[in-house]
Amino acid sequence: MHKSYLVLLLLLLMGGQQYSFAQFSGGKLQATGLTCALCNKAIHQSLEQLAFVEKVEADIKSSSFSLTFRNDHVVNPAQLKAAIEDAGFFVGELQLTGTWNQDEVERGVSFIWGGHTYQFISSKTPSVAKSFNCMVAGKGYLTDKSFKKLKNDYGAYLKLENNIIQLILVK
Amino acid sequence: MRYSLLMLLCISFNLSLVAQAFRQESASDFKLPTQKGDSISLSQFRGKVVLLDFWASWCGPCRIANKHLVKIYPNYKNKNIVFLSISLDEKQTDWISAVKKDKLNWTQLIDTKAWNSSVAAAWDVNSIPATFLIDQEGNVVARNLMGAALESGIDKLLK
Repeated sequence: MHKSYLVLLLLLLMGGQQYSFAQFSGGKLQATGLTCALCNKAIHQSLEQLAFVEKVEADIKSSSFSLTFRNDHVVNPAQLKAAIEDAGFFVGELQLTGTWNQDEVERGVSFIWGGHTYQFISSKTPSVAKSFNCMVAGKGYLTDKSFKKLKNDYGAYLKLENNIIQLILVK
Repeated sequence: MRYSLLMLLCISFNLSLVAQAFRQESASDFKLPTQKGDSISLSQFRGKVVLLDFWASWCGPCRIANKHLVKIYPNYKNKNIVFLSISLDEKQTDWISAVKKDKLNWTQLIDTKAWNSSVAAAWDVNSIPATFLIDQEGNVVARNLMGAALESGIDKLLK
């Protein structure tokens, strides 16, 4: 009896409401510091040690790390940031590539993944296959200069809450 | 008081050991492939000065340092010294095209294990570029000499 109620509830939840959900498959991480971050062993190792990171490649063209994530793991941007900082560097920019189950991304829409709440603060129709690129907009994920610029561009939308990870769609 | 004196003695003894070990540091041997697949070891150049350089195609500062090596190489080509570059590239193709582009005409080796390279670990290379000078007897005599200091370091060994 109890079991069937539960199933009914689940069905109702799944059918009655369209869940916004996204997950990240990879990213581009630019690290800043006094020395060349791409040329540093510690930074490679601390990124590779993260359970959700499958591959770390240095990309000289964009002077950033190309990251591939494991599809059976939850990606945690805060851990990426900590890994960079543990190696003695800072995140200059973190871009994530993801897939999205909706046709459009509207400003303000949010989703939860792995206990983290993500929120889009820009609107755009994602490209084919519902994939999108976004930038993590938050202190510690950007250079001070670009953070100031975002504050100008997004003003009140940009919040400084630690429990919400805000995302801005990029090309 | 007596205890702290003993400690001091221990520490100074340890320090002198470390200093000595550094002075007599002999080069750790390796065997790595060239572009053609031949395997080259460091020990086969015993009797010659070796300029060993760790780099990678994706390392900006290494590519700049390459320019300097290319510039000085003709001056040493016919002397008792070999230039040896080890790339930490994962992809052979990236490595080969960077070698071509930078016009590196000396022996080029690769360890595609990149930062997991046991050779880089043995040489305590934690960031690149990393350059070493090895004397005729196989001792590491200098690390990370750049620019004019590199040339005078080589010249000193060739005298």
